[in-house]
Amino acid sequence: MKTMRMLLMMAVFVLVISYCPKSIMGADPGSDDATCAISVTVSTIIEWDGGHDDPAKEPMPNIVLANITEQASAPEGTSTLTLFTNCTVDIGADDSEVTKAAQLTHQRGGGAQEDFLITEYQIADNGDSTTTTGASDTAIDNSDADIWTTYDLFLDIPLRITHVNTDGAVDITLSVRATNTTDNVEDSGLYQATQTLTAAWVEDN
Amino acid sequence: MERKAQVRNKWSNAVLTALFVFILQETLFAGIAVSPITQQIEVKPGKKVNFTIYVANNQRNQKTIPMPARIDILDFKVSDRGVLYFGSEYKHSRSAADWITLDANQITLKPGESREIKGTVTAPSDADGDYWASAMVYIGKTKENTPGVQIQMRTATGLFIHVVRRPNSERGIITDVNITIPSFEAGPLKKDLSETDLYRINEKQSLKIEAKIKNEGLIAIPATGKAFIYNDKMKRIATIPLYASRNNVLPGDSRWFTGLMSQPLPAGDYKLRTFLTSEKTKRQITKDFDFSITEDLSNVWAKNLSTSNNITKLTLDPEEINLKLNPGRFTSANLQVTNQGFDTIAAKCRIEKSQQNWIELKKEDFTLAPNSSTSMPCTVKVPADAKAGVYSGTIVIEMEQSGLENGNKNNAIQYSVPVSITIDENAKMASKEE
Repeated sequence: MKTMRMLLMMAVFVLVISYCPKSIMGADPGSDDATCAISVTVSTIIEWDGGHDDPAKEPMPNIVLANITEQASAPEGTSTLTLFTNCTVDIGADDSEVTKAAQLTHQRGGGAQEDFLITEYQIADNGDSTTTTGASDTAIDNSDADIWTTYDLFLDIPLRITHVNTDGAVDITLSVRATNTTDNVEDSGLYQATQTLTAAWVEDN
Repeated sequence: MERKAQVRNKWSNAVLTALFVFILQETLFAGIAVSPITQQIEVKPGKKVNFTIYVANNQRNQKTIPMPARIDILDFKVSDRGVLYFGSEYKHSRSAADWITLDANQITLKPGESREIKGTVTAPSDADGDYWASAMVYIGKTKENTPGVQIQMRTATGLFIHVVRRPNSERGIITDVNITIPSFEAGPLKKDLSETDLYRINEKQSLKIEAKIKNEGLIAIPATGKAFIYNDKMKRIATIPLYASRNNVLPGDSRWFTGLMSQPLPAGDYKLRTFLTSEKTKRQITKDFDFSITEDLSNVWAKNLSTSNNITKLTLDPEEINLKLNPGRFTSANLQVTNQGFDTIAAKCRIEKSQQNWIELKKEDFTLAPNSSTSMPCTVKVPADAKAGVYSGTIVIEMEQSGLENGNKNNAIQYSVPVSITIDENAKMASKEE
């Protein structure tokens, strides 16, 4: 019985070998090239980056101004950040007259009374919208980006940054200037403000 | 001895303070990437649907630090000039802000870390048509008692939600038409003017047409605009494409479309017909307006016209598209189109001379203001069984500029961008052996 089973197994083995000899006993086929189709869709991206290679420029997010020492003092400060983008974006600012967050304000005695400085802003970029990603002269003109503008009117019309093929980064420089109100000297102390820069989409359909 | 120790302490304190300040300066290097910038989300009434926003703290240098971020769902409004305003004070009747929840609102991303923020939209059972809100990503944290101006950076992503209840038709009307007659106080355009002044003065010295569309329906209208000028015999004598900063007019919103024509009109009485057309349904709405050009104005206008502002030119970047691809590859290319002329233009784009349907334009019509540009994306999809060889096609851009009709011809100028797709022999062999 055992011999019969053995013979039967050998017969099946010989049958399998003779049916597909290459797959079991064939020569090493060697290496073979393989291709793999890879596809990826790059979505629209906006990235604010506070880092900057130029140590002479202050990184975001703070602009510390020099002290105001006389009525005519008008200290200015700037801060530069990089905006990485692969689409055209609008840059807006907080010009709320309700919160007045972007106005340099000095809080006195529990916030009941406030003193404030005239706070003006400008914004600039290092692109040109034709050869490099940035704002065109017309866009700068439309938003008055290169003119000192009080906090409540600053970027009323947002600055349009036009994306140019193969250039995915633009440096944005925010400048601030603080002055006393006319014929007045504000209270001494710490003046603070928060300016919010918003990057938003341009094309939504 | 004691004095020496005091001096040493002072020095060590100073060194420590300097080191602390130095470290603090280092920690300021950070940012966050947000994607995508807009999303179109479809949901059925009474149902839920999910969406994703990707945020990443890209490690761009050694000084990148962990970065906190906050994500708020905010309402936004679009003004009639296309300016976006964000905040709860801009809540409106078609706000989707209360329908949207996120799985995380406060996160901190380590250097190099990216994260999917999962959102859910739950549409009420009686919702119908288009609704919208934004997810605002605030980067970093502001601190109390910091002197000077702190900068808060934020990125807005638009969430456009379409509730599929029934087929809705677009309902738009033109509510206002304005015509600004040219004025020539500044004199003829001079070559030595700055680019900004040149365009500003040209705008004053051109016929300016403005038409305001109001969307009275439940779905957004992606509109394009045009104006025709007819003479007293109702013969069409001029065409002016109309441009808007944002041409997608959301329900309840109004939007101004503007066109400029620098070419002078002869004296006479004219009828202006403004058209706003939906890109989606091609449905048109019109409004007429009568105006006159006096003999004096016509003469001054003709005298001030320089030959340079009669030429409208598009620049295309790149001037040709060459792609080397493998079979099965799906990719995209962008064509930058800039209007360098003084007039508004309209463009229609199509693919020609291509035997394969591999190239698809994502935008087929657009209008451009003077000195502005747009990006025209096209996708290329090579089939997996494509054979080696060079395949070609052409992107044709037919530009229509503002101006007087030239006999029976319109003011169309054709631009071509050759597209070449190379599939090399190795790619073919590889795919064949596969």
